[in-house]
Amino acid sequence: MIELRGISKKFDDVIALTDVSGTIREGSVFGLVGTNGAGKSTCLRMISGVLKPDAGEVLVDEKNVYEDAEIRGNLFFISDDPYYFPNATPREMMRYYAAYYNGYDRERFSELMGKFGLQETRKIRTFSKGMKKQLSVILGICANTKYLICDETFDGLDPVMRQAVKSIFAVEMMNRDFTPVIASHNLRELEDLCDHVGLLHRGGMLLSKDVEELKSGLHRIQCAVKQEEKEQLLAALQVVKMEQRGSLLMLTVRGEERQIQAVIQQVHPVFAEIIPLTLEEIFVSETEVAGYDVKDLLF
Amino acid sequence: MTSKISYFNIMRQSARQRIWYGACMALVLFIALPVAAMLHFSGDAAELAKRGVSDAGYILDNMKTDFRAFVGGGYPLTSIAVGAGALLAAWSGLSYLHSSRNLDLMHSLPVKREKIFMAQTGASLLLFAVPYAANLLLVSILGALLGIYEPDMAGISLAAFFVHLIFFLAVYFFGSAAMLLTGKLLAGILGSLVLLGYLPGAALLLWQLPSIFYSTYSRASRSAEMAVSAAVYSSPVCSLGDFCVRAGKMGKPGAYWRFFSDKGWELLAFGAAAGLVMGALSWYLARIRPSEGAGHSLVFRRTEGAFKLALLPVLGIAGGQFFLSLGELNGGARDAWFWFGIVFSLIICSALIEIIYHFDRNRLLDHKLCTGIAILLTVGIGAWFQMDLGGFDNFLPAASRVKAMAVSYYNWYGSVMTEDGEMDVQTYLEKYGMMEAFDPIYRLAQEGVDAVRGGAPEDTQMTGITVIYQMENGQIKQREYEIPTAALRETEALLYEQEAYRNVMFPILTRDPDAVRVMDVHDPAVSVDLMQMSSEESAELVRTYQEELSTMSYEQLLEPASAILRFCDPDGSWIGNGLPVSRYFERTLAVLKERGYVPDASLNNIKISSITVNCRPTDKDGTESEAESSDSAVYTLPDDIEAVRKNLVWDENNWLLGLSDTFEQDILVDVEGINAQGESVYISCRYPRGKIPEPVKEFCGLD
Repeated sequence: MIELRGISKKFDDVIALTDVSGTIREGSVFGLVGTNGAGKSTCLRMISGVLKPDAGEVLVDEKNVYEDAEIRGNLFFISDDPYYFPNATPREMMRYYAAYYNGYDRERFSELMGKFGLQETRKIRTFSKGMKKQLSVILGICANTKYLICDETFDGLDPVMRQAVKSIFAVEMMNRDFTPVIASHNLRELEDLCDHVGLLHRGGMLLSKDVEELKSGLHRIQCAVKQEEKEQLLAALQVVKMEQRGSLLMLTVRGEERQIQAVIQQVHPVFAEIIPLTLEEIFVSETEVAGYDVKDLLF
Repeated sequence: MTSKISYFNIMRQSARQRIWYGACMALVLFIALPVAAMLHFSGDAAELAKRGVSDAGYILDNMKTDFRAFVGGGYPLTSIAVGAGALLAAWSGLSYLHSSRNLDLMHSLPVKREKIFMAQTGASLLLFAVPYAANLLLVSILGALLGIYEPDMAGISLAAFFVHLIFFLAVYFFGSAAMLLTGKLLAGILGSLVLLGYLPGAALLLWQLPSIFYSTYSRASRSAEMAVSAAVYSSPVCSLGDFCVRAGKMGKPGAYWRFFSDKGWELLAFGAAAGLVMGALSWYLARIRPSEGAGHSLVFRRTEGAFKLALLPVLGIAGGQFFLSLGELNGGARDAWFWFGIVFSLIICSALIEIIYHFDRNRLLDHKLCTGIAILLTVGIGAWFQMDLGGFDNFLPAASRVKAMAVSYYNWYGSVMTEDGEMDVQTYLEKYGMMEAFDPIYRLAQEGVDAVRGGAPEDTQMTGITVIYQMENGQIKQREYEIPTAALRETEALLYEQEAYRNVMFPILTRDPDAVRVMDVHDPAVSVDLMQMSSEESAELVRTYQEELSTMSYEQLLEPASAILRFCDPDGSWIGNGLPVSRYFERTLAVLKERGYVPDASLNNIKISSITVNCRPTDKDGTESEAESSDSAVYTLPDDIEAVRKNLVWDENNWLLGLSDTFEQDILVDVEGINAQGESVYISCRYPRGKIPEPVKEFCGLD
């Protein structure tokens, strides 16, 4: 388990993170979202032991990751712009990492390189940006670490490759104790991948919840009801947001789907249906409830 | 997955990443060792051939001496390769610290940061040592092929190899400390140069200041020696340079180890100690250095002010000295140029430092407090020396505070040499010349201080003297004064009565006769080699000469010498200038006569072919006038020669200032001719005062 305990970080006069706390459970896929400059990379660098928090601490399996070098053997950090040695080939990079990560799987590396159509002996400097991203994921996966920390790793991957990486993650999670932590500024990229998401904004953790919990607790209703029954409906539901276009009422409500349906049936609507919310919409609603202008946060 | 990563594994990975560095060093060391050796020895052979040397034994010995010094670390290119290689290793090996992308990789690895640093150090040493050893082996093979390799050279080259590795590490740690303190490569390179050059530079600047502004400061004083020592010992680069220079002179068999046990280990120990301090600092910095420092000129922002405070005064004073020398070249007011240089350098360097720190023109005036303190410090140092606020030039302690004094003047400097062969006036005077009855010297010092305070009297010939005060509290002070020559001449006779003065004047008097050899004796016509004398005969002659010289009166000494004796150490190194054999030295002359030599100071035994008369009008201070250049007349006709040689006296007795009264100072005469053995002779002569022949008077325009 990775535990953030009130971590703060300041670069000169710029506050990058303020008192961020949270937990990343083992066996889940944790998504960290936020706008550019929200502090995602800083947070991941601290989780990886690259940066020392000014305050608080990051514990990986109950050990301080900055102070304890050995515990860093449990995680592999893929930065947003991975560094490769000048003139190095993928095989040389693999050998380099293999010297530091005792459980490095060289065969798996060759296998994955083949699957992704990347040559092990070609100079990395000749790779495209996307190929370099793929390589970084392969290098990270084959380190066989418990945690894989990915900073904007999916940016620059085409949909096919993204899907391929997702399937590799799924296989790894199925076969071993594997917990990817993925940061992105694009919530849509994480929607079908993450079990848990955290939203960073202006250096603080605005929200951190399980995706299922988020999805099951918030719903959108489209319905047409008579005016006198509208008041009764609104009073019975825990409405987060309401919009009305003519006689069509659009509500975002909190609660369990079954109970919500029962309440709607009681007012005998002319028309009613529950529409599933995207993760992005859920975030919009949740953050608006928290008093933030969501458009400034994500779009 | 959490087991420890082996140090050697990390080192191997680091070496693999920087194999280019190893290749580069292999090439450089190949040029610095085998190629340089080939060039050096082929040049040596050519030079000997040019000089007409055909003695194979001599040539071989000469080459062996050179080769021993070469493999012993006495060749500059090897030392340069060591220093430059160490810096390049530090800059390339630790450049990852200046890239945040690279740091994301390195610092997320399951290894302690200080362990990565030490592994980089090990890899750097390995990548340097292997090509060095290989090239040293090549040089040894080359030496063996040339037939100049001797068994002792293996030990010497091995010692030099390890010495160079220690210096390599020392310089490397200076570079690594700079790289760890900085977050940009350029700042790291500048920082390395600052760390290596700051203390030697500051020491030499501080040494220069008194010699620029104090008229009584002696460059040969102990403080100057201390400044040079401080420069040599405060930076491994300087220690390495000094080691190289000294080792280069130690090519004789056994000399290298003597040097090593005497001075070499000292240089090595200081270099190693400085490296150790920097190594410990680097290790600590590697441990605490924040990764976010990459991209910033200085990683630890609080050190910005401290570095600026340390750098500005040195740069300001250096700028002041630079502009002062420019002003002197152009004949300008040197003090004004000095202050202009200080102000100009402070402004420019302060701005430059801030630009390096921030690269932001809006922050050119940052670190105001440190800048203010640095300016005050610089102005304080400048004023201290330029205005002589410490009263250095006015120093004249009360006679009651002085225990003993010593004096010497420029005539002696060629002969002031300690038993170690060092030309150190202060050491020599302290050892042999301190006089407890110092009244005459004290009066000279008073005149010197008066001359400093009131300026030299007009139309007075001045002579430079060195005075050493041994204070009652044990302190030693040294000053140089300009004294009216007439006053010095009057004092000389009084001083000569004291044994201590005679001892310092004639170094041979304090030498052990058994540890000195008589080299030769000569008069205008003949030079007799006395090195063939047995040790006992030589010691006897030295002893006899010492006894007669020590009891010779001042008046006897003022007479021209009959001959000149020269002495040397058993290994052939000469001891000072030649010393006079007076006609009153009956026993010495008798010993020489036994060896078939009878001196003749006249020119009668020379068939003179030409006499060159140089009229050299001198200024009052004894220097040659710039206004009128000297005129020469060459006399070759027998009648002319006969006329001009009249009254000429052979003059090789340079010791006494009193002699300047005896001879005409402005006319120098060179006599060329052939002696009785048919050998060419060249002699310097003078005319006794008031005894200039008419043709010379006429030529020089004298009444």
